Order: sequence, then C-alpha cells, then structure tokens
Amino acid sequence: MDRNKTQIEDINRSIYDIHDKEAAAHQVERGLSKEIVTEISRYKDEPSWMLEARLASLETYHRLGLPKWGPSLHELNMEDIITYVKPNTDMKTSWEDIPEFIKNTFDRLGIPEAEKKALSGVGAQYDSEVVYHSIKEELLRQGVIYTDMGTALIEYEDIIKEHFMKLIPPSDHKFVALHGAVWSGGSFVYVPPNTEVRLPLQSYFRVNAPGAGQFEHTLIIVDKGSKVHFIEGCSAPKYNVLNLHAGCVELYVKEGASLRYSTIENWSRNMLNLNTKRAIVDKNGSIEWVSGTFGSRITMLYPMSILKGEGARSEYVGISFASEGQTLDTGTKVVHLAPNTYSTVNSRSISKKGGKATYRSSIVVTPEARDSKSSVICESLMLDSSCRSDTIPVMDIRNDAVDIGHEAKIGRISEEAIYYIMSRGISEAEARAMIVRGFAEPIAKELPLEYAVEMNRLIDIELEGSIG
Amino acid sequence: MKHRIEEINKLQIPTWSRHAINETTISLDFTDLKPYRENPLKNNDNCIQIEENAIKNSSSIRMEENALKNDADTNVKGVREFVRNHSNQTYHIHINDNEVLDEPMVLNFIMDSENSLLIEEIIINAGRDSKATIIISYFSKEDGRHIHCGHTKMNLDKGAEIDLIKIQLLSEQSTHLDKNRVTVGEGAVANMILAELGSGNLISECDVSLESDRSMAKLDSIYIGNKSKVIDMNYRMEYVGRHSQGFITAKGALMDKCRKTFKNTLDFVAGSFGSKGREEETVISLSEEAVNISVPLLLCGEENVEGQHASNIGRLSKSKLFYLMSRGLNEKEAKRLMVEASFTPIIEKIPLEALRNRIFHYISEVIQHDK
Repeated sequence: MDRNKTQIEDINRSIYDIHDKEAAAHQVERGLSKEIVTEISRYKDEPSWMLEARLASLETYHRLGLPKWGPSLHELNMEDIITYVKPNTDMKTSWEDIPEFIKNTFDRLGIPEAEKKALSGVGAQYDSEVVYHSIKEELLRQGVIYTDMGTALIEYEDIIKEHFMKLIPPSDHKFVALHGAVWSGGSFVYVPPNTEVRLPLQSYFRVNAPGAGQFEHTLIIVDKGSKVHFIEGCSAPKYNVLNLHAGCVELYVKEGASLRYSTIENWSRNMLNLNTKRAIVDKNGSIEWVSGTFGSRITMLYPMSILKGEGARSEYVGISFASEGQTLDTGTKVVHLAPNTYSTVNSRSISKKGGKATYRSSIVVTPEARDSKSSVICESLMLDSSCRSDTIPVMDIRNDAVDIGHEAKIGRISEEAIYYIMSRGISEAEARAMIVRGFAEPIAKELPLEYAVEMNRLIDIELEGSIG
Repeated sequence: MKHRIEEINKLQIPTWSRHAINETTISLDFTDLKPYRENPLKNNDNCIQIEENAIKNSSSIRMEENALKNDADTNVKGVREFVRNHSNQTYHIHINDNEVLDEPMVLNFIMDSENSLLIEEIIINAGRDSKATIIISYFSKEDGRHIHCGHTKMNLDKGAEIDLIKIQLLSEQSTHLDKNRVTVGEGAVANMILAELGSGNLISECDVSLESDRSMAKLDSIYIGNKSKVIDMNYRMEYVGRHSQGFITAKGALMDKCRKTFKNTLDFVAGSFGSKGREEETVISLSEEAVNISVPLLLCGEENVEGQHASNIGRLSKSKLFYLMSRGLNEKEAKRLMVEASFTPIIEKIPLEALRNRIFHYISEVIQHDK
C-alpha cells in the first residue's frame, strides 16, 4: 500500500518574486573583461590601488580552475552575467528619499518596519549598490561606524586598505578572485573597544535585474572587548536566466570581543550562491555563525573560523532546506591555531522533492592548539525518497591534547514518534509538523524573532494523509 | 623498475583538495625484491576446494614480462588493475553450497629476503548457506623491505556466513597495499576483521556491497601508527538490498610521527528501504606529533533508513592513567593496557589463540618502543 504522505510545503515566495521593471542608472555589458573591471572602478571613482587590486584579481580568476569537488557549476557562463548594475538612485539615509519602486520592495520584505522595532542600523543593497544606510545616533556617539563599503573606501581608506581581502585573498578560489575583480556594495562595520551594540545591525541584499551578479563585500572589525550582532538577509525574484551571488565577508574579532553573524539566505531558484565568509578571532574572542539556507539553485557556503588567539571560540549553527531543483552544499570550516580554543558545530538539513542537501565541514587542529576541544553534531532529515542527503566531514588533528567528537545521523520521521504523539490525541499531520519543527528548533531559537517566524512559515505543514 | 599506482582509496565524493585526501598515489620500487614462492596454505585438510590450476607460482615471469613488455603498465589506476596485471599468486577458494567448515582455513604469507614481493589475488566464492572462517595473515619473518599488494574478492551467496580475518604484521620497512571487495547476497552475513598493524607504508581498502535483501556485514578494524608510518585506509559499506545492515567499527592508536588517514563511508543507495548502518571510530592519540585525519562520510539516497556515525579522537584519560600508575604500572605499561583494552573486543573475535597472542605481543612491542 502506498503511504499517503503529509506534504511539507515550500515557503510562499510571492513577496520575493515581485520584480521591478524600472531601468537601471548604469550597467556594464554582459561578461567579464579587463575593460568591464576598469569601467566599474572608474564609474565608482575608486582610488588607483583598488583598480590595481581588481585587475590582479581578474588575472587570478583566469588562472584558477573550477573546484574539483562540490556541485557542478557547468551552467555558469560568465559571458551571460552582468557584473554591475547601479539602481536609479544614490544612497539615502531616509526611506522617504528612496524611489518608490525600491522602497516598496523593501517594505514588502519588512525592512523599514524591522528597523523601527529592533535594529541599531540598517543597510539595504539593491543590485550592485547600497541604496539606504542608517545608524542610530547613540551608536554614532559611541564611535561605531556602520556604512556602505563605497563610502568606507573614501572615508576610511587606510583601514579598508589594511583589511580588504587580506583575510580572504583572491587566490583562495576562483569565485573569490571573481569577487575581487568586480565587487560592489556591502557594509563596513567598526565597533570601538569596550562597546556593546545592544540591538543588531542588519544589511539586506536584494537582486532585481535578471542575469545580474551581486558581489557585495562585508568587512566587520569588532575591537577589544566589544560585542555586536550583525544580520544579513538576501533575496531575489525568480527569472529564467541564472543570477550569480559571489559575496565576500571578512570578520576581524579582536581580543575578548564577540560577534554574532546571522544570515538568512532566501535567493530565488535561478541563483548560484557562491559566497565566502571568514572570521579571524583573537584571544578569548568569540564568533557565532547562525546560518539559514533556504533558497538558490546551488549554494556553496562554508563560513570559516580561524581561532588565532588562545581561548578563542567558534560556534556554528546552521540549517538548510533543499527542495526541488536545489543543491545546497553547506557547512563550516574551523582552524584551531592556538591553545584552549573551542569550537562547536550544530548542523541540520531537511531535504525533499529531489532536493540535495550536503553538509561539508573541515575541522583542523594544529600542533600549537593544545587542550582544544571541538564538538560536531549534524543531523539530516529526508522527507521523501527522491531527495539526497550527504554528510562529508573532515577532521585533521595534529596534536594529542585534544578532545574531538563528531556525530552524525540521517533518517526520516520516526513512525513510532508519530504514533506516540497521535496517542496523545494529536492528528498525524500536526504530529509530523511538530517533529519537523522540533528538528529545526535548535537552530530557529538562535535566529532573530522575525527570521524565526519566516522559518516557521517555511516549514508550513498542510494537513493531509495518514500513516500507511 | 618503479611502478606508479594512482587513484587508490578514492573518496566517493571528493572534498577540499587542500586536505589531500581525495585519493592516494604510490610508487613501488621492485628493485632487489624476489617474488613470493612459498605455499601459504596451512592446516587445510577440510572441504575447501583449491583449484590447483589456478594457483600460479610463475610470478616472476609474469611480473617481469609485464614490466618489460609494456612501459604503460608501470602507471596504472587502482590496486585492482595493478594486481590484475602483475599478480604472482592467485587463489580461488570455493566453498560448496550448504558446506559448514568447523575449522578455520588459514593462508599464512610469511615474507623474508627470498620472498619479498607478493602480489596476490584471492577470489572467494561462498556457496548458498555455507559457513566458514578464512584467516589470511601477512608476516615478516625478519626485518627488511617487503612489498605486498593484494586484491581479495569475496562473494557470498544467499544465506552464506563467512568470517574473513586479515592480519598484517609486516616489517616497518615494508609497503602493504590491500584491497578487498565483498558482495553479500540475500540473508548472507559477512564478518570481517582487518588488523592493520604492521608495515611502514600501509594502504588498506575495503568495499562491501550489501547487494540483496536482509544482507548483513560487520567490518571491524584495528590499526597502530608508530614512528613515521603512513596509514591510508578507505572502508565503504554500500546498502543496496532492502533491510540490509552494515556496521564499521575502527579502533586505532597513534604514536610518534605517524600520519593516519581513515576514510569510512556509509552509502545508502535509493531502494535500500529499511536498512541500518553505523560507523564508529575511536582513536587514542599518544603523541603530540602524530597526524590524525578522519573522514566519515554518510551518503543517503533513500529516505527510510537509519544511518549514523561517530568519531572520538582524544588523549588517554589522565585519571585512568593515574589510577593504573598508582597500582604500580609504569607509564608505558599503563598505556599498553589502555590500548589493549580498546582493541580487545575486536582481537577476541579472532579464533586462533596463537594469532591473538601474536597481536598482543606486537602491540606491547610497539608501545615499548614509543618515544
């Protein structure tokens, strides 16, 4: 007898799929060339060292091959990608000054509303440029800097020059090199010593133009003893052509500082999401990655923590939901470089309808990192037999004074658990919903409230079917 | 003549290249080595049929001809192809349907300066509902450079139950490449022990396919890394049949400056409904210079399965060590005891006491010489 299954629906994408038809103020030709890279830099009126860095990155891009592992990227043809699209507005500090069609987009996404309620500052990027940036007065008085990267490159050139693509050099892999050549937009955050930013800062990245690439750069420096929570959200309407996202996030966490970096990625399913994120953490510093990957056609994303100082800590909490036509290859990398460093990984994936969820990780403990600990837990839930779920962890341990634990589980919703819940008077559909929500709960509770609500919408259960 | 073998121990799904774990390449130098000519069959007066014609002792001719005839043969992909081209010993072991062998069958390869190159193929076919224990051991009688490269192919027919035990205690100058390919039929049970203890350069591969419904396999492995030994192991359990069960358990101890890579994969193929699998690795690290790489893959294309893996890597418990030393044991004796305690559940499954004692003696010797 066929089992009549409860359907676990995808997120209602209608609010993300509305695209604006307004013309861009400026966009480069499709493809990738020295001329295009030079045009981007000149249009943005950048210092000459940045143009040189871009051109060097372009050479690196041409020299490097595609990765020999991970999902196939054969669909990507850079000749079809528009690497720079400037929206028809400059950056504003008031929503009222932003053209109506862009404002409406961010209104639908709930950004201005969230800003009023629960954020210290907001940045909003539309295609290749940031269109809105603001920060609360009190943080400005404390010396906190939160601005777009274009502005930072002019106003804080020395800091940018010292840190930009130093943690993630263009030689790291092909798409970082691409980023180095055509990057645009993104946010720069500096939190001065012993400053606590109580409410989160949030940047939202929206791609609107079909066939466009988005290459924003986020640079955050949290100085000694400070604390901040940064949230990034991403979405795009669905098109029939591929879009490309190859952002880059460099995080510097100084001694005793603490940074939480939360991401909810909800790209449309024509997006190749090849993002690179890395944090370097000094003595007794702490980085927390909270990562939700729901959208995109292909994602390759592995936030990396380099625990450089003694007592540095890293925590990764991630969930992915792979559905029809999606390959979500996610995970994390941790390098323990110093004694008494500590890392934890908690990863959950859900897959259905032919979706492919892969957890990939690398935990490296160097000879110097004595008395370090690492604990990895990854669990995968498959909702039907058309999907795939793979776990590919690597542990490279180079000293004996460590405690390393790794556990992984894979499976489906237990019929016994369903039966038990039903025996308490709850319907089968609700029982399944409870189990899926329970599976995701350890991650959901780490998300900001509005994103937890968004994730619960994602795991939207329809009542149907019975145990068969 | 040097022979290069590429694409050994390939990771089923590759990952970051910088870990250098996706596959292994090795060069074998046969210079001054002498083909193996001894007969490894001992105590074999049971019902096993040895097809005499299939035993080839013309190793040197075959190997040298291949090497001289075709330079391309010096560069091959995979142990299986290399053995096919160069084997100097081939054994066909056939166990009749319904045959139950009470005594274990032992192939004991003893290597020395006159028998220093062994490239063998062992083909085991276990008939329907047959039952047997097969022990294959590789020892070095003396110090010296020995090369063993083997491919064992075992096929279990419906309801067969075979214990395959392989023990490798070659000298530290030796190179050992061993590939095992096991297919398990309906309701059949394959119990395997791979004791990879000796040789300075060790490559071990085991690929088990649970092909039919209710097939079952257990793969237990113990290994020791010492001095500058290089260990590369790749064990894989593939679940094809419904309600199949497969378990991998590995226990290791690492000393000195050894480098160990252990890849183990559970692969649930679509259709392996109701199957269960577990992989578990426990590593005791006794050196701050040893390199320990573990890669436990869990691959799943079927919803209704249960798969899990667990790895525990860490130092010896200081409190346990202190307790043992407070009872009068010196540090090395205490370490030996704790490594033995970890390995014993697997070693105790080996039916021959002489072999068990030899393994315990080997562990004791290695830890005694630990710096």
